[in-house]
Amino acid sequence: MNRRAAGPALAAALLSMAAVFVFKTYADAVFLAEYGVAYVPHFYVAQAAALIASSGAYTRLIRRGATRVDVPVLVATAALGAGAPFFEHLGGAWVFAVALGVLTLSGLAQLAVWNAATAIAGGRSARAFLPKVGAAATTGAALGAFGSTAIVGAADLDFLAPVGAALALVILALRLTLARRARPRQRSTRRLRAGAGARPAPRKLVLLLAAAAVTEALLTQFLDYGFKRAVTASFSDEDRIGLFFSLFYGGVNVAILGLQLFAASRLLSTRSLRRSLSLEPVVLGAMAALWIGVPALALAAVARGLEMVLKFAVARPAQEVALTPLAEHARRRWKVLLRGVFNQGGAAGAGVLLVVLAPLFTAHVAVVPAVATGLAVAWLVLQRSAASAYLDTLGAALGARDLSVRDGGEATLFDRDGVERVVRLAGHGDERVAAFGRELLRRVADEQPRALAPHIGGGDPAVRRAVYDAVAACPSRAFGSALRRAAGLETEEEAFAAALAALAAHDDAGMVERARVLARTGAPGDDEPAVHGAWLYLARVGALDGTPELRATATAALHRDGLVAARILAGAARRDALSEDAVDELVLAAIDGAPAEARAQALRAAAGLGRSRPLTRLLEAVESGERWAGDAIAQLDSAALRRLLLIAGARDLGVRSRQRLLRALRWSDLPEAAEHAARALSDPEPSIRSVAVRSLLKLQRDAGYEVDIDRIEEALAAQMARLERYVLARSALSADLRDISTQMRRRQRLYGMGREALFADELERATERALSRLCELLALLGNPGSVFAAERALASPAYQARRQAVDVLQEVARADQKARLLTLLEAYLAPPADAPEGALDRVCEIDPWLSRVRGDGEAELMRRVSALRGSVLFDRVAGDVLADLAEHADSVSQPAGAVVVREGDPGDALYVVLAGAFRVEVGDSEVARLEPGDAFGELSLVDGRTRGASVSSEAGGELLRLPRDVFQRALDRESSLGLGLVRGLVQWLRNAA
Amino acid sequence: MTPALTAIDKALALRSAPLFCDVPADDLLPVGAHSTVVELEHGEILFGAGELGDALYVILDGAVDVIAEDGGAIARLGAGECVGEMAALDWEPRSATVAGAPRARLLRVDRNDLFDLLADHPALVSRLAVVLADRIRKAGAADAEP
Repeated sequence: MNRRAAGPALAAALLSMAAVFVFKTYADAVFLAEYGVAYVPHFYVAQAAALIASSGAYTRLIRRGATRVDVPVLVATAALGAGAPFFEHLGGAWVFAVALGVLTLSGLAQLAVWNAATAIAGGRSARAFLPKVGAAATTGAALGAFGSTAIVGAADLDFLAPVGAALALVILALRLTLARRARPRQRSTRRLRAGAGARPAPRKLVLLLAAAAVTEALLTQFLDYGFKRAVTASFSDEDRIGLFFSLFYGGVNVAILGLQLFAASRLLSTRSLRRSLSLEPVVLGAMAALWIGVPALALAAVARGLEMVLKFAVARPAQEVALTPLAEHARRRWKVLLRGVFNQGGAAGAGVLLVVLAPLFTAHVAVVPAVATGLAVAWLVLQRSAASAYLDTLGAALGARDLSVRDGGEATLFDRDGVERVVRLAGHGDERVAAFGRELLRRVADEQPRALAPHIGGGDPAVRRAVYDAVAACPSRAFGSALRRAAGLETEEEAFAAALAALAAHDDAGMVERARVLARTGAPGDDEPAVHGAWLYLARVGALDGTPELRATATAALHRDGLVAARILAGAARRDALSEDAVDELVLAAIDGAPAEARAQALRAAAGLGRSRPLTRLLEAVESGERWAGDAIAQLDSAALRRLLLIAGARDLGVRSRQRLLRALRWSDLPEAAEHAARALSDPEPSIRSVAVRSLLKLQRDAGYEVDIDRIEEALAAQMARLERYVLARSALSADLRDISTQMRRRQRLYGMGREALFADELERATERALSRLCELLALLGNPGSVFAAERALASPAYQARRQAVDVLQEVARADQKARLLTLLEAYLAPPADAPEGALDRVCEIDPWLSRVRGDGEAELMRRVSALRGSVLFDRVAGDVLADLAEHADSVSQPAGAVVVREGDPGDALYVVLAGAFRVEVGDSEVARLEPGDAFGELSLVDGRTRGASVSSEAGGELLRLPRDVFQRALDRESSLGLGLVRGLVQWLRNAA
Repeated sequence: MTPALTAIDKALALRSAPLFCDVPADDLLPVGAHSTVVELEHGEILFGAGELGDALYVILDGAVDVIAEDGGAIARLGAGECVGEMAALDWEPRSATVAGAPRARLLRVDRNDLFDLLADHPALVSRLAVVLADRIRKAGAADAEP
């Protein structure tokens, strides 16, 4: 921003507004005194036409590159002002012409001066500077109005016009100074214009803003007309009307000034645009509605006054912000079009309406405010749509598409044809498709039992079995009679077993006799599915009470199907056929003796019963990272889940276990799971918070779960405090180190640059991660598409993209957090030169990994970490995860001439050269030479394919070896490693292309 | 006019892509439900090189050409194959232009859904990594990789 030009710009804005109000007081008074209110609508039309014509010409001149349009306008204003009293005394149509002329010219001059003044500040500095220009203009308006009061009171109304002319001349002088001082800025503007011209103005946004401008003008004119009618009803003398208007305008402007000084900057920078744009329509709508009931001059004056106050204090600045996504040139043009053409078009429309429908409006006092109320509502709708379009536009500028990802796809998931298709899929010849169909069937059974009921017992045996299975998994009253009928007719053995299971799930004991006959042909756990199924059925419907057969059946079930086992045990416990101890004994026996899969089943069964001991076992399974534990948790019911979470809360789980638990809960659709994720937003461990946010984003999108805003804001505040430490620590690094960090990214070699360089690099990565987590939290507030696009744009080399990113993130943030976020992001993009004392210590307090890197210990580990960073595979992997890998790698010394890997050998490890030089050979020819920091065998680490070349030591050296099995185990354990790996590979592929 | 695809069809189509063939239906269904169908006319551009990647595409039917910056075709991909997964995964601009040849229908999977899937299925990550490694080898980016 050009500070030298700021002073004259503010003065010009002040004086031009003073001139406008001097002329306004003069014109309003002479007009009303001459014609009364009857010709006011005609004046609206004429004034709008004049303004449209003049601003049209103004726009055209600007588009051709003219920069001093305002000079001739100011000269003309001064001339007309000086001659006005003379013309006015000619009377008749001359008064009309004079009033029109001074208003149009002074308005146009003010617009031009305002544009010139605001053009000296752009981007974020505009947010700080615009309110100042606004305040200066309002001060000018108040001075102009009260000055007019003094002049009219002391002398005569006719003195106002020459005073306005004198003001215009002073402005002209200021404007010329401003042009001289602002010169360097204008050159850069032109350069910007060339680059930005390629992007067309976002259609939807500008169209909505244009429609809003028209509606706004209609509303304004109706309020003004009503107000003026009330004025002429109370006064008739020219001077008294002039006094009234000057006092009114003065008062209004003092109010505007107050708002601007004490509230507008807050409204502008700390509220969302949606709110700023809505404020005026809401207030005016309410006022107009009130005015319908109480038609008094005072109320009319307040409504009219509020209209002016809010327009300049809130609506105009908000419109200014809404236009920021446009390129600078387009922005200027649209600003003029909105205010000069669309606004005036609306005003002319209002004038025509008032002229044509004059009988209607004069008949009833309440008609005008009633129309105004309706207009306010329409305006509100348009403003809110414009605010949404603004966010979309910001996001689109950053490359985000389809900002609203929600669609109604799931609502029509299974229509009648759909259900039929799913049933057919379950019997598909291709086993993979059939498996898919069976999974879908379960969903149909769960969500649309009525639609599935007619299909029970139909189709070939495979289909029938699949349907019975689905019905057994999701019992429903809708299946009852159809199921019994189908089971009675069932002839195929496996299908009959499935039908029995389904009946058991429905507590339907109608098949006990037939099942008993079948069961006697074998024992519980029999290989024949029908026989085993019969035993299960008998156990579940309570036909085996207290017999050793019940235990045998339950044990068999525990080894095969945990859910069925759970139901048998639960039923038996309920009927006191088995004691709780007996249940525990059965489960523990199954756990000890069964293979892994069955152990999972047994635990799941016991967990389903809500028994604490087995639940504790389940938690232990979570802690040790056994895969089935997650599935088991996802299948718990509410009560069991609550109990599990209670146990977990009391156990003080480690970070990794908490993370696993949270991930497992993501697939549970119970509210307890969502609550747990919301609570985890305040977990002390950042990676947990990150998992929680991702879970909540998913729940919010897929299940419509509403996260408590206070929780999000609290988490945001905490994350901002964290990010602040990183950002400040970055500024404490020497500029050299910061540069090394960015250069390293490109050259991909950190090894051998020392501990300080490693720290700088890790700090940079950690800062990016902290920022990324902040963005995830912001995405919870809405518009995830825009937020993620903005996060991406923050790393963009283009200044414009980074600036827009900051705008988006700031727009998404709420209330008081906006300002803080802005400061933080600016410090991130341009680290301040003076870092506070101890910034590095403060970041190490919250980041154990950085603290380890900064310390002196673990020299060998750090050496390995910086070596592994040399591989593109690990570029996106977090430092502590990489350290974990490094610990499990070995360093191997190689004597001179030793062959490390041989062409054609299986690829079983990745190597990084720690010392010495190595030769890469294909056949007998050398294809490359490797030096310390170079990695090889990276792809073998991923796919284990045979080596495509041999590597041998030249004169002895040392290698870091990361075996494939160690890596694969780590991959299973740590999901962030996998994501980092995939992104690293993509980067590699991209660099190669 | 082709009938609109249900979430079932979409999930089935995803299943047919090598990348997703081992993902359980319950996880694929929501992804299917949130994915959108994109139709390409002959020569119509799906995305251009340099655009920011925000989604992965699976070809339902027809074929698409992958076009290098100089205008030459790099590859023609058919039903069941994935396009654009690279940019979707690494937040970076698209590396090539993709256009219908002659026409194609594709399924668009948002990158956030993709990340959720990857985070929950280590097996999917391994599979994807192998697919990428294979491409790196084929692209000749790892000539004589030891």
